[in-house]
Formats: sequence, structure tokens, C-alpha cells
Amino acid sequence: MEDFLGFFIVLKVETSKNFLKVVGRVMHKLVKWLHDKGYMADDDYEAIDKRVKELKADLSAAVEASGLISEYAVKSPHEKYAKELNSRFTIKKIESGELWLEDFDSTGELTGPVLVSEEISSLCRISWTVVLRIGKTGDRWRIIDSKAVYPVTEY
Amino acid sequence: MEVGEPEIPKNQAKSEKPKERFSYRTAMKTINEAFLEFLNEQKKDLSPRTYNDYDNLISLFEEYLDVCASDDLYEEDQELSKEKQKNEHKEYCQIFELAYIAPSDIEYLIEDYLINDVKGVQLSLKLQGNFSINSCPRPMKKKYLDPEHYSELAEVVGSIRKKGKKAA
Repeated sequence: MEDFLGFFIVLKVETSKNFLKVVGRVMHKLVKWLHDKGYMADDDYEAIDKRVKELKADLSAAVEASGLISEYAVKSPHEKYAKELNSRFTIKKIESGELWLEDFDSTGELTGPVLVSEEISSLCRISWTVVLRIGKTGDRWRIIDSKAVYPVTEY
Repeated sequence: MEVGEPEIPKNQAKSEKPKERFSYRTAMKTINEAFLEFLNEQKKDLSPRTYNDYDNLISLFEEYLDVCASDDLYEEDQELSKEKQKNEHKEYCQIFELAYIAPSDIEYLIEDYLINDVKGVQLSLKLQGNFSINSCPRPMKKKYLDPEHYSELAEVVGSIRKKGKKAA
């Protein structure tokens, strides 16, 4: 297996910005094509075409944010945290370099500030879902691990 | 046609011109065949570079379906899928017809797979180079990789994805 992975170091898909721009267009065309050919019911077509249009707007930012948060988590200092949370969160408030999150399991209570880079905070959007392990140190939280970023609420 | 063989009305002559719009039950193409048809139709209007992007995205969608969609199959279809995979080395998109793409599959591809999984696999395998799950099926189709190793690789890639989901 390692030989195979070592040998086939061919990047067939770069999740480059150009490629991501194409995603919305291709999926829109594909969905329309499926509908026109009778492979997709009218109701499904209307719903999914609307959804594709919504999602493509946030796709580039979400891909970039997801990558940056993963890298940021790897670089976080490994220390003893006073408290750790491992959960799905909704981003509720954003300031430069800081996020405030609402845990899916405890509605209404905000956790934050969670320290991030300014680049990350500029990419994130309120209401996105993030799956993170975070640790509290002093009055602040650090990202220990990042599992996913979804440009949707309550994924 | 592998699944849900449509019943052709006895009074319908084979020479009848097919209707332009047809239902799921008369859809005769597998997902893989339909995607190839879609790409062929697009090819004439696109530059080679743009066509390559289309091809890459459709390949990613196929791989998403091959790795993830079978989890949601009914028991009977799961058995069929396992049998075809084992005996004929066929994957989900080569077995099932277009009715086996749920609208939610398109949503998950965009809102999850492209954001978290493709990137995740690339990061996980960084030492081996910029490898993506997309590198799996093509080498097999081109006979660079035998089906057993492909299944093994797909399993590894699938487990990376599932690990992430479960951990969440």
C-alpha cells in the first residue's frame, strides 16, 4: 500500500480556488441535466438547485477555513487544559482572531473567546457548524483538534 | 441495468421511439454511464482545461458515492453491492442506476466531502505527496492497480472519513 501511495503521487484534483469556482457551475449543470433527462423529479430539482446555489457561495471560504483551522490546531501548544470540550458547535460571534461558539448539546451558552488566526476569523461565517476539540486555558480557549467545518447550521 | 429492471409493457414495440423524458423505472444507465454521457455532452462546449475540471469533479462525486453511499442502502441492495464488488469488482456507480443518487448526496458532496474529506485525505497522506481519494479508481481502470488493492485502498480512505465522523 505504501509503495502504491508513494508511486501514485499524482494530484488529480487540486482544491484550488479555480477548481472550487467550477464546482457550483458543474453541479448546477449536472442537476439540470439529470432533471432534463428525467432522472430527477421536479421537486427534488428545485430544492437541490437552490441548495447548490447557496452552498457554492461559501464553498471556497469553507475549504480555506477548514484547512487553516486544522493547521492552527496542529500548531496549538500542547498543555494541560483546565477544561476540554469535544463537540459540534455553531459559530455565534466573530471578532478579529476570536470566535464564540455554541455547543449543540447546551443551547444558549456561548463558549469563547476561542483563539484563531485573523485569517481564520475573516473566513468564518456566523451560523457555520464546526466540529472541534477545544481546551480552556485562563479565560480563553484554544483549538486542540479540528474534525470538520460545515457552511451550514446544525449539520 | 443492474438493479430495479424496468418492466417493459408487452404492447410496447421495441421499435417505438423512446420518450424524451422517462421515469426512474425506465432509466437504463448506471450512474457511471450517465456521468460519462453528461461529460461527453459538455466536452464540445468546453476548453480542455475546463473540461478537465468537470471531469475531476465528476470523478470526485463518483468516488464519494462509491465510498459513502452504500452505507445508506437497504439490506437487499447492500447484499447485491457486496456480491458485485466481490465477484465482478464493481463499485457503487458501476452497479446502481441514477435513482440511487439521493439529492442529499449532492448536498453532502458540496457541504462536507469537498470541504472536509478531500482536504483531510490530502493532509493525512501528506508524506506520500499530494494524494487524494481521486487517485484510486483511475489507476484501477487503467489496470495500474488490481481490484483487490483498490478495495483495500478505498477501505482505508473510507475509514479515514468514518473516523472523523465518529469522533464528531
